[in-house]
Amino acid sequence: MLHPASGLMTIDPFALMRRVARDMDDVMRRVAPAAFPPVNVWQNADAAVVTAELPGVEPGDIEITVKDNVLTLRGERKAPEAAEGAVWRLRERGFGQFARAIRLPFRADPDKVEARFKDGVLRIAIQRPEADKPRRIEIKAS
Amino acid sequence: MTNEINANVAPVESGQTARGAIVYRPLTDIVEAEGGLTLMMEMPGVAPEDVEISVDRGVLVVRGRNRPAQPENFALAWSEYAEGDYERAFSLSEDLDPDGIEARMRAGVLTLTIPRAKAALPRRIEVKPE
Repeated sequence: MLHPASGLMTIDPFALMRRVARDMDDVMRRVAPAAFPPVNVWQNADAAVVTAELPGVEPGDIEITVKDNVLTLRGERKAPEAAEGAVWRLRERGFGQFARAIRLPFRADPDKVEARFKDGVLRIAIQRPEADKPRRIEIKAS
Repeated sequence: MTNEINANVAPVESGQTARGAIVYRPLTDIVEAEGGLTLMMEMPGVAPEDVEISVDRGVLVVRGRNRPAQPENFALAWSEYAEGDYERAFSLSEDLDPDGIEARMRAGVLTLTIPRAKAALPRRIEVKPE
């Protein structure tokens, strides 16, 4: 590793803080490897959206299933093939099979699930069944 | 042959700030072969047109700008990752040819191939008459 002094000479009061935070991130990654893929879940009254970071994964290698209120992501991150005689100088990326189950806030109808994969981010939109939606009850005038 | 190769690509510290966004150091694999180096960098959420690659004085800098993917009218209910930009710099050894760098982007992974420089030709220096 190379740590030139130039980074310290820049007039940026937050540079050190950021570096410490980043080093901490690196430490945390080594100590507690996070589940793969990391997911975010978004929600409103009509639907839920699950996004997952899957860089380098081919869409054909991702299997999405929905049963009741559980969404399952399964697949494989395939390691790139190196030419014969090639040497790895740096290996930070992870490869191999993965599987994750995500609990949804409602029982989903598998026919109302849509998935898109763009720039290494998977986005799954799940419509909430009509019967499951919160309903507003009007107060009748007496 | 491989033993003679002294290609060195080392991560360098960068004091750059981003425009308020979190900046990640993309996870990178580097493979060295006879013809040169291949770098593979993970930048999920970055479109090919939002990647900026530059080489200045032997330092290769890669930047990727993320476009927030927050769905409209949704609230975040569970979060395991935060979106951000990506940035990483590498110092290139002199036996690599920065003019020959080629870049491809697929599924959020940037692949850079850096060819080895053509061996410097022996040069004859003429002695000028007085």
